[in-house]
Amino acid sequence: MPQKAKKGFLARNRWLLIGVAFFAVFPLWTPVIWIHLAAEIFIIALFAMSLNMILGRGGLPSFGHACFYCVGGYTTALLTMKLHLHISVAIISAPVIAALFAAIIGYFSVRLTGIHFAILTLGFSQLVWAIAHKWYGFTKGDDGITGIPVPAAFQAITPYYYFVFVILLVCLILIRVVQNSPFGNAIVAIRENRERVTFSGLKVWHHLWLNFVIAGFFAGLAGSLLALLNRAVFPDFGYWTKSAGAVLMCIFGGVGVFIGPIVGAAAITLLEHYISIYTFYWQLALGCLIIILVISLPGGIGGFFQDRLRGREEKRRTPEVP
Amino acid sequence: MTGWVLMSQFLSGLTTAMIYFLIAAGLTLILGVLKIMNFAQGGIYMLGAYTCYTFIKAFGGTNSGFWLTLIIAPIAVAAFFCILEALLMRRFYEKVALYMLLLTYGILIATYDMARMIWGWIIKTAPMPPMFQRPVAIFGHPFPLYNVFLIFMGFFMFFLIWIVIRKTAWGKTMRAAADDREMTAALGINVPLVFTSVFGFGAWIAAMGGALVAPMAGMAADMGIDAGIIAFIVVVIAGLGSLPGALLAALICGEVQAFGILVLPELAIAFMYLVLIVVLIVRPWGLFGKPITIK
Repeated sequence: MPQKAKKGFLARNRWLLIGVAFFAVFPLWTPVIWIHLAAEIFIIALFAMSLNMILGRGGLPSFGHACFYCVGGYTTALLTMKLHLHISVAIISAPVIAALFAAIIGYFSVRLTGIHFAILTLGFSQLVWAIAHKWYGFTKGDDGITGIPVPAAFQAITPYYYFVFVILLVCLILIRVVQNSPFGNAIVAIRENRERVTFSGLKVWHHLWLNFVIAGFFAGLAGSLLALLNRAVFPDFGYWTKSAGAVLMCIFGGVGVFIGPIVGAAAITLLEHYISIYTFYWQLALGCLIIILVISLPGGIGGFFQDRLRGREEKRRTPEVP
Repeated sequence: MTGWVLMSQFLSGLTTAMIYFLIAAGLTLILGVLKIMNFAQGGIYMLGAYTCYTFIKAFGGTNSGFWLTLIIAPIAVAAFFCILEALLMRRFYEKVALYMLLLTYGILIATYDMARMIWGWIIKTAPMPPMFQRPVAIFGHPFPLYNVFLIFMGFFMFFLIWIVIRKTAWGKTMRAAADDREMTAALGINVPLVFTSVFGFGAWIAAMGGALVAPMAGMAADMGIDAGIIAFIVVVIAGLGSLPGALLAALICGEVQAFGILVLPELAIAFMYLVLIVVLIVRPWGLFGKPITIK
């Protein structure tokens, strides 16, 4: 479209930039509890984004993604608490270790598709959860590890908020770059038609494996950030309901939209938070809301708005044909 | 003595296996015919247990009350889920499987809180019917009679489901609809009605599992969350849609758990996941499934 090509970077991404600017000044006037909640949403959003690389782009429903989240959190906690390493080492090694786990699990899992893939990833993640849950000598079992030392700079929530925010932005750019690269396109092609991609000479298995490892990397980073936010890790980070919750967020926000998982993560975390203020039975309310949303907005919230925006632009561009 | 320890472990594994089988059998039926991953299955099981508790209490904990409960409670739960299927799920079969997943997950967490709202947060136990309040002697050792009854019921339900699917006209229609929806509809069969009845039948089996477990173990609203996932594991080990496979896989899972406790008590839960991983790596299509091509 010639019209679209004329638009500058600023005009094309105005909503994105407004969003970034809003969250950059967000902590200036809001109370601490909101900043904390926002930081938590950023972390969960990163986790959901990493899952969507497998779920939305690759079309493989992973039900064990929380495993990498858990591994990332435990890596950070154990390195700082047991080996007394510097916090930067702990943060950097968390995604690396998580990626190693993803390499092992992905090696076996990406050969499968559909429900088989879902259950195999679930099996692996439950195995990791069971070990974290029961190995008292190493992971302190179901008590979790509490009191992770945090450097002075991150004692207050606002600096940590900015830290998480910057990491989220960098990760989003990286994920975007990966998704727009030939590699990312190949992943989508595999989702759409595995056989055709195989015949065109691409190594399907290698692509999916690498994609799985990259997703595990970002999930590990999210887990590490969450561990530092809470200053504690628990085995339940890796329980299958966490994985299912992330799948829910992706579908809720829209798997076909780039920022869909972020929308879903924010919507579900906020709903959980606000409904649970009014009633103990927030899951009933959330469940009913999910049912209503599935019926009324197939494509998720993000998909709904994207269709609206696209529809409007298309109407503007294409003249009415009688 | 050690012989008896192994034997009693085997029997308790068998008891667990029967419960796994009942949840998984309904799931595999729904998966095979409706082609959906029903997350709500664990919730159905949980509601079956709670409904059974209410009915047993209402009938005053008598023997005849228990038998009546076993007939009424699962049917009541199944009827509730039939209505849900007709109202909510029916229109989504044509859509992407992911939305179905989200929908059943929504139903699962809604039933979870609904149970806490109705029956409270405290763990409940249904009274054991008087006729089962004594042990039987197995090789001279006492063993709870109710567990024996449960094992018997597991096998009975297996044969019942098998006969319904294989020998009745309705079972034939169901299998036809599973194979080719459009062709079955073209032959003048009301396919949506068949689907609703299959969903109801699957729900009935799971609710029966819940009702049978009610007098034996304490029930909490979250019992369905773990049970649902174990049912998925059983179904996948079995091979999707295979009923004998589900029985065998449930037996494997139950026994592995029972004997795992003897070997390594802390990691007993992990053994089942190990079995799952090994089976899926060696035979991704499950024990009784049709081989799928692996790339």
